[in-house]
Amino acid sequence: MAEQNISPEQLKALQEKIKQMSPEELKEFQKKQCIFCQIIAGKVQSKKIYEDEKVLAILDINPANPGHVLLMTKEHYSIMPQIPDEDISHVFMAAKSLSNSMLRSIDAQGTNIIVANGIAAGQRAQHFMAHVIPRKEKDGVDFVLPQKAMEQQEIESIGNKLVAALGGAVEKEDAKAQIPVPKKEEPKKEGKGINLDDISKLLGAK
Amino acid sequence: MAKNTCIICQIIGNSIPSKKIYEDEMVLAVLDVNGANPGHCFVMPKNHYPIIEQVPDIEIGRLFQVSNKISSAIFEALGAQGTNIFVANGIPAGQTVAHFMINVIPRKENDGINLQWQPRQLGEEEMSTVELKLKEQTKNMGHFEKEEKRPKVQVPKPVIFSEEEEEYFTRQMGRLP
Repeated sequence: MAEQNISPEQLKALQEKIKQMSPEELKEFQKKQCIFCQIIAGKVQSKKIYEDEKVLAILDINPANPGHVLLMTKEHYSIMPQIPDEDISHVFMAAKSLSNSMLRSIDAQGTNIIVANGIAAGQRAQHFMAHVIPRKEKDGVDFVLPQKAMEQQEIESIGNKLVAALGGAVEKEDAKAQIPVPKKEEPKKEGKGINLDDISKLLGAK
Repeated sequence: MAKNTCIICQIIGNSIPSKKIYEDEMVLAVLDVNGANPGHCFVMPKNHYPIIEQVPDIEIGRLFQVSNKISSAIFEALGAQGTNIFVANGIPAGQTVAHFMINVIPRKENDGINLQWQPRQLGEEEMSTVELKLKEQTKNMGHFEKEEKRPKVQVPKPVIFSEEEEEYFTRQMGRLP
């Protein structure tokens, strides 16, 4: 990134500036810094696999396996929770299609679809993307998902917290829950739970 | 694996208990009680599809919307530092159950989970070959089924009567002249 060689004073000034930015200004700022926005704009070269009005899929230049595709929204979003529902559908319909293409064209025996939200989850780019990775047996890609058994009490408390955060819709097996649909273009409410802008700021201003 | 022996279908049909996080007519999300981290959720279609290729677009859309909502809920309610959305298609990719599902995993630093890979350096020629092969397949891509067609959800409903019910029926039958 461009700001890697700046002095601590400059970094502090920059961080101050970022803190005072409105969400719109922040997005503009991140967009300018974002290599993937430049790829989307055609300013940086890439091997494009698929493109439509909402998404671009390119080959990862440092792939886990040959054919590893980065699927990104053309709009700059730092993390998945910022993306509107309609675009989420579009992105993953495209991911499914890419996965199918891999099985048919490059002898993949399986695929992984991976999204990382936040640095702790392994996110490195500051632009939302889904990785679609072709897999073969013994291909050396080794994802580790440990199994941690939960106590009954923990299951209840964590489960109930999530249910509440999702709108508390699951009570009985026949409950007709609906995805809480956010009202269209509602201005962002600050101060509710975790601020997603903070998480994206971390990515943008690292 | 047949539908009636599928463990996920049994969870959906309530014959195996689970901690449900979200449910609608198309999607069920439950807590993985042996998860990679506390709060790890499975999001699955109620219809039985072994792999992603068989899941209709409209259901894919809904499944990932729900996964995204759960990811946000994990940030909000559990104070996670990150989340992963993880799908394994096929045994070589790590798929262990023959029912398509999406893993939504809360993350903290140094939590023992590794979804990283060793980056490979490919030659220009190999990259170009892969590019051409994939493009040949993706050139017709993009006709996604976005209209709400309301596909029929076939939740397996056991039509087995409980003992009391059976008794009731027998008694009723007995009353018939």
